[in-house]
Amino acid sequence: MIDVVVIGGYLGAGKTTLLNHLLREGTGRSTLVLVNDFGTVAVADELVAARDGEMLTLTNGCVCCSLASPLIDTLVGIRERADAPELLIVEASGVADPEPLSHHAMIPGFRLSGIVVVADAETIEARAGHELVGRTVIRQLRSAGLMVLNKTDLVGPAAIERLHDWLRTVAPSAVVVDAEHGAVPVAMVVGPQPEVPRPHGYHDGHAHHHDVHRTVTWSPVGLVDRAALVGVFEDERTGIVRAKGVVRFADRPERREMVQVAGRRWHCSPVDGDGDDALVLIGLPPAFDEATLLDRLAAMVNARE
Amino acid sequence: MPTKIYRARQVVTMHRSNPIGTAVAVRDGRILAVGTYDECAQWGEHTIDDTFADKVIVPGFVEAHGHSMDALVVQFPYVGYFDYPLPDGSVARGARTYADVIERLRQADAALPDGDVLIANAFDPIYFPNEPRLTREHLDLVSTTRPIFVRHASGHLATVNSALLAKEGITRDCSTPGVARDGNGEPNGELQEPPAMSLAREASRIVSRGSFDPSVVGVHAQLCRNAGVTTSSELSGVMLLLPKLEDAWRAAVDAPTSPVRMVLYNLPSAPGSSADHDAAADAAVALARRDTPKFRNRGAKLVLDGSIQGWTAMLKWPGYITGTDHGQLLMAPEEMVEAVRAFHRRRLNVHAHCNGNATAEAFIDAVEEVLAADAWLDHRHVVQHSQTTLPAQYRRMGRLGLCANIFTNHIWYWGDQHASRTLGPDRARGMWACRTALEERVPLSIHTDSGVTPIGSLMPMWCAVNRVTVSGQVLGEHERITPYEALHAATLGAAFQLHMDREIGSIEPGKWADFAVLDDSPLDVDPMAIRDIGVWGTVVGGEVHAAPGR
Ligand SMILES: [Zn+2]
Repeated sequence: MIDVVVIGGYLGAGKTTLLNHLLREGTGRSTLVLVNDFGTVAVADELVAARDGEMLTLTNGCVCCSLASPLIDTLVGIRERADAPELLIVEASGVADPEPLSHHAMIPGFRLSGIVVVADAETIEARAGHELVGRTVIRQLRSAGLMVLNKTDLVGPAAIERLHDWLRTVAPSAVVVDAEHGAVPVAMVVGPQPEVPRPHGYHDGHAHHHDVHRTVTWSPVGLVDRAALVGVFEDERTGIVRAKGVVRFADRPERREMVQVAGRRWHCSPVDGDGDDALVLIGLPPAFDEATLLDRLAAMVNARE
Repeated sequence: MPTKIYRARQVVTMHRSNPIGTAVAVRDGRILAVGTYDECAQWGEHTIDDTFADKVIVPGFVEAHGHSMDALVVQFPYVGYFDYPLPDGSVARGARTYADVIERLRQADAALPDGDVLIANAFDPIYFPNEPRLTREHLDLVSTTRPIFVRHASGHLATVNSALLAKEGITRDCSTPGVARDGNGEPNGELQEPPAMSLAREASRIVSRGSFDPSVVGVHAQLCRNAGVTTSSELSGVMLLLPKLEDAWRAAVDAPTSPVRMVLYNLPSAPGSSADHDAAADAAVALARRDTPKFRNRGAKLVLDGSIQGWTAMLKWPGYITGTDHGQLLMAPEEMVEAVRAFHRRRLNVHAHCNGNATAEAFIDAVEEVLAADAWLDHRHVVQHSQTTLPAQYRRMGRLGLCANIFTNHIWYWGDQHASRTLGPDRARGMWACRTALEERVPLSIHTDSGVTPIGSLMPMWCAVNRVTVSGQVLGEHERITPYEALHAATLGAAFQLHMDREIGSIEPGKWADFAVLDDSPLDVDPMAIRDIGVWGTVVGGEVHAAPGR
């Protein structure tokens, strides 16, 4: 299974800056990046063959009158590779709607980790009101789980506060994180790695000067009430930014499910095999309070028969 | 090469100073003279060919927005609503009811080896508003053992049967979006959008493999010959995206048996994704140097939005009258400027797919910005489809030198749907505004988007002249043009937009001897009979190509 992170946002918002930041910091997993901002002279088989370093160009959308979906073809090519990556980061084009694009990452072999949308603090409001691209921009914002409000160094604190208020109404499912030059904690973008158990309340150390995010691991012993857990993910008061892990739900006790959360959007997909159930959560204090959160989570577990 | 003089009932030249003749002399594949037989004979020794003595010769039709993937009608059983002509001169009958669709599939099932997946093409639910959605239950009536994949005309949907769902493991637990469900949560067979369609792995592979194969060119060329088209185009050219295909395409087009010139407008990137447009334009310049008389790559195609009947074209206020507006630009306006600039600077023209008028506006803005800094006044950039372009936009286009290639076939095929469901009757009367375009001095062509509607210029001419829909209503009488204007749009007008009007588009000494040979003149018949005029075949570069049975 390949985890997929879709990075969207309008032209010039700073998607490539964010991507470069991620690659510089390292994701800790074998990672392939699909970029479609310079997709000139190659698609599909050409690209996969010409894979150089960790960058591929991709194309999305569908040819107006053709049958092929180049992105699907590219993904199928990646899925069939012997050295398929653990993590695939798709940088969408500046006008792409990340929501339908993310559906491509929900074909067999892939699972969606989250949609991250980058917004330019200086221009986002004007773009959202633009006659021709406004609707596209709004759609991008609405699709976000995690929103990186970039270039906050170029606007004042009062303007940032106002932008947060505005974004809360425009994109209610997004958790907004401020950034300069795309510098946000890597785990917030690509998700935590529950495969590596970490001590309670472990701080992952990618600290930047504003970075106060916290990470907590929850290991439910028993079956989890799905609606209650979803209630936690959709509750903005929890301060959860990102989460990933495997749990067993009371309504489908026969299987384990991978749960991935980005902002207030979440996806579940069945996973094979056995193992310990664990969910790693990343959040921003003060809303993100480990003790309160763990108590709330513990209350939704039914002891296993 | 010796001189041959074709005598005809009439030669319609589309050349203002010499409009009508009864003979045309051809030497070395080119037109030597046109007029009376005696005038032509003054060039000396010649042979006379009276094959067309009772026919009307017009300039070969030029399709300035086609796709060679119309060859799919041959590859897969056809379940479209309207009749579709086949290369052998026969016709695939339209499937007008679900019973027709099922019957057509049963015949295909009987003809296919056991185990093969049955793929059918061109089903269009928009024509069955009173039927329930097509589901696996309908297709299970055809076979419960053979997998069946019915691709919809939009390319965005497929309906499959239970055997295919089972074989590909598409169950109620499938988490891919776009797997439509019945009331019990079971997949109902409709797979919406490419991610879900890709779950039908075998069928997707087969369909995708066929799309850009050079073999389609040969089939397309036969369809062109049967319809009088001597120059066609591939407006989703992939020579920049898949340069490995170039030699095979050139060989297929240049084959002496292939009766059509092909002009490719190549995509610098797949629609919806961006590109380094300077690098793409450099590659396009290099590609154009390898042109042959029949195989041309002279510009770029930008796909800027979706379709109107799919509610994905980008409209200005007040938008769509029913349905949900999914309109979206497929390229940011800033990037449009960069794309146009890159090709414009290299003197290559840009054809931009603009179904919606908001999209057309963004493209016109981009051309205006580029022109202000780089005065190539003869650019002939084209607003393609131009279905909803507004009068104020045509006025700007006329002043900026932009052309319109209008998808007039929509009037008949989807005009009723546009009046009732997309734009509403008032604005639908102003769609495909050929008269406005001409009044505003916008160079005009009309097209079929072959693959979407059948190749052949008589139908778009008929539509532009009559503006009659399937239900029989005249939709937009004030935008009608004359048969002469329509023939001009389908010949010289199209050639102009391809920057080929000094070589083709009219019957004029020095140009290629490219003719459509017709049973009657579109300028003389009852305008309502234009689309029924018989096509004998074509002459391409002096080579005669008869349609089957002629
Ligand atoms: Zn087209």
